[in-house]
Amino acid sequence: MIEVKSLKKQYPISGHGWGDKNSYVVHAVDDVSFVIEEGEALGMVGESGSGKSTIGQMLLMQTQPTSGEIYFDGIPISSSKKQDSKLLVGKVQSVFQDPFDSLNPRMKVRDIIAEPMSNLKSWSKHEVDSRVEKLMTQVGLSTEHLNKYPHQMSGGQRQRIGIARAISVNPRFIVLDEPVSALDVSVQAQVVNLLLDIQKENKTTFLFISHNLAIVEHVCSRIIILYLGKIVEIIETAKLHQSQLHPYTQALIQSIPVPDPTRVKIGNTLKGEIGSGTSISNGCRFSPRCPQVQAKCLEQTPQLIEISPRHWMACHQYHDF
Amino acid sequence: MTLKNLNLTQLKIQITWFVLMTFVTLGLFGTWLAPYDPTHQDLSQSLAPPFWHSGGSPAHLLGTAPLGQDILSGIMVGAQVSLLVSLCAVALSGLVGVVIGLIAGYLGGRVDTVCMRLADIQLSIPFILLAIVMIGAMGPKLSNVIFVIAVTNWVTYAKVVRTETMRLRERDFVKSARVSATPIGLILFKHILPNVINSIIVIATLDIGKVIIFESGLSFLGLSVQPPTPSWGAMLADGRKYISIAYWPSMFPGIAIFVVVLSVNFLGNFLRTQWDPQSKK
Amino acid sequence: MKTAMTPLLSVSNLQTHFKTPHGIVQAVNDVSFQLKKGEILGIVGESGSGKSVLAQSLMRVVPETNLCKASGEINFNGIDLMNLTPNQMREIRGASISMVTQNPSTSLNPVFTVQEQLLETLKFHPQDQIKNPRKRMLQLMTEVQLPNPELVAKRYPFQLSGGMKQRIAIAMALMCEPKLLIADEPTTALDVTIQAQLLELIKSIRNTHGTSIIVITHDLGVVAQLCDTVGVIYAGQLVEYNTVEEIFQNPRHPYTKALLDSNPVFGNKQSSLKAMKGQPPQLTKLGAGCSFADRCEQALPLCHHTPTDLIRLGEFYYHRCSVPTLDGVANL
Repeated sequence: MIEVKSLKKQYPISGHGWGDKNSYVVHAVDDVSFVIEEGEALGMVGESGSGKSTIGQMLLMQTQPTSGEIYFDGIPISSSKKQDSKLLVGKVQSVFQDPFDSLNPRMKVRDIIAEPMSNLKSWSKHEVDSRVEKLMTQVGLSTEHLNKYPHQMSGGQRQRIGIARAISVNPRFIVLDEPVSALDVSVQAQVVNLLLDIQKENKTTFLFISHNLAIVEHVCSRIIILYLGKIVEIIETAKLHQSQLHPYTQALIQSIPVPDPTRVKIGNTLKGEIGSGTSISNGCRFSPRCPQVQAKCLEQTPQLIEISPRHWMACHQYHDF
Repeated sequence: MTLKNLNLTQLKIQITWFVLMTFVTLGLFGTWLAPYDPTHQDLSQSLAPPFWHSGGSPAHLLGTAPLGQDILSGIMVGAQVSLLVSLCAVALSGLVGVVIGLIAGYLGGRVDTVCMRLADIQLSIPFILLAIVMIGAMGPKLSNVIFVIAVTNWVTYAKVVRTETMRLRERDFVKSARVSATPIGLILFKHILPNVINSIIVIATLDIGKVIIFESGLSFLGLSVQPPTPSWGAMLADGRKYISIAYWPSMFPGIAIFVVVLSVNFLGNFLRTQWDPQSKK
Repeated sequence: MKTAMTPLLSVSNLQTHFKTPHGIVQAVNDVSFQLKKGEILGIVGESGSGKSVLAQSLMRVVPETNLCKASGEINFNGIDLMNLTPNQMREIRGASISMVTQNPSTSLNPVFTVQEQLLETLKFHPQDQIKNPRKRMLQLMTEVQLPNPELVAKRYPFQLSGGMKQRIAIAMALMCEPKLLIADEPTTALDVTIQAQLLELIKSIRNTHGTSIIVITHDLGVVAQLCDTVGVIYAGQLVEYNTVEEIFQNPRHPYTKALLDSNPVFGNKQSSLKAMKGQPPQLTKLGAGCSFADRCEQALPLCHHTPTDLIRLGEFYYHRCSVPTLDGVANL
């Protein structure tokens, strides 16, 4: 349904501090290509600097790519052309991370949810009102909250309102950028279950961006793992525990603190800092930290290759598969 | 403790409203309500003190000015000029400044650069110079005075609103509105403007006092309403020379300005809390 | 007479209440626990549970405005901290007890270099045994795994990454060789691979220096990997306190059980998570009964109005619930 080809996003910055007259380029997203299938929940995992949020922004047409193409249903789209954005209206929606920030503090809940529908003008005022009430119930909130303001609701409730707003226009594709990261653990589970229900019921396509592999594993059927602007692995969630994985993916899994005191993993952590997106050399981005680094890794950037059906990896080690 | 606090706030609100209503009434009907014609000179009564001093009389409650004009009447009629000029100038400069600030802040890029350079040009022109040139050319009519002040004053609103708009532009709820294809005008009006209104109110309330003083300066230079038409600023300026022997020609107009500015500030605070949904629980 | 078994820190019935226009907030409401030398205690709670106020209360840096009650006993090394004068408390803070907070960008002053900030601690708390502050500083910087300590010392915080800033914050906290380190959500703002490094670091600090550490977090994984004992906080109250093994394998309090059940674990995919119903309570609207009763699967009618007590059973086992558990211990 959505195809991304060689997407790049670069930000020019001038100088790293006092006395640095050079200008640098931050390669936030560096030659990323992938496909999102209709009805699937695709996870996008990475740490800071991975570019995952930037890719989300470009798919929402909020940021202009430096180069590369995005295709929606086979039609190329670009955020600069007005008619292209019109194509996506009503088909694409978003849910953002911060439940305190994603709702206008000066608007009532019912107006917040109604906004996307009012913009589309596909429903009469009366229809919009009844849909708003149905949506509230669908996300598990009582309609008595409709005339309240966001600050009168809790974080979990606000996030549900954001979700209600997103599904109000029956979008085919929703980009969720860290939708549960800012919520309490006890509330996260509720919202995750809600998202799972919505995805199953409406067969909406999800792009679920997060740094939390555990939650992504729960919600998504396929995962893309990013490091410093490049895709290092694309794998089906079901195969995560059976396959040979990219060293970075292995390190990510290894780093997740397991809530089981009998399995203490401390002692085998990945060394080094994540690095910046400016100093891009020819080799693999991950080579400075990779425990399995070879000479080849420092000279040549590995290509993303399908090493087994629906399992792609960018690593010199596994090219011989 | 809370009950007393509540009453104090209510009392403050009542007093503010009362004061402002009084001055608005004066502004509208001052000419008819005043006991004397404030331009009427009576040299025999020159510098008569207020009625509570010896030598004063109930005929002139607040005393008289150097040329025998009744001060109370001067204040009542002068309310017209001062309030008219300040309200209109602030409203006009506010409107222009806020619109420019919103557009410059939201669109950024070239539009922003052009608007800010315009603002810089405006700031580099000294106010008095501009006033002399413009009023000299167009005549000392009240409407020209309002225009001159508004042209100078919009920059503060524009700069503040622009900075806040730039911050708000990146907030998630604005991003959501863009994704939902909300047209730009609606984004500015429904999402950005209500969240910058607080700053605008604060600036505007402070501005009202500032503009009254501006106007008095122009008056003093002969660029505003010409004497003998009274304005508070002019009365203030006129009375300066006599302060050592007679405080009342300057002090009472000064008190009038003070009371109005204070009330407008209270009103501003009140409006801000009224309009902020987060203050209601 | 202090023996090896005497706890370093013994907290009893700690209470910190604030007065707000919406009512009294019992941010810390009857918390008791003990901490031995070299032990790592984890305090687990969600936002609004009062865990940060607990950390502040232990250091006695709770903001004075609106504070209407600060009572209980904080017995640190034989001294009751609640009885100390502000000057005496100031001597302890930073030297014997120090703190690392969540956001490394705000805990470091952006206008001073790293070394100015690190050396400042020793300036205010000169220690007899530390003769050469600069040497100590570089030593600690190496210990917290900062690359090129000489170079980093001259840098300003904005030139460093989040992980590095947090390491500096930890080094700063260790400058005076404190006996107790309080870490308030130390890794929440960091990336997962960096978090793993920091957790390893915290454990090695305990192993090398013998410092007792209190880690406040909402992440159950962090608690399991790092801590020896765990205290679970809900709505300002300590609801369960036990060794880490017992908490994870044999949780007694319904909240602890529900928290563990609703936590998505990597490698254990379920078709839907076992979510807790309802939301965390507002601290101004607490009733007389158990604050968890509305969300509790095992709630009995009496739970909603009978106050709960913290009872101690065994060396480590504290419990607060009106419903009898399988052990047969109850508070009825």
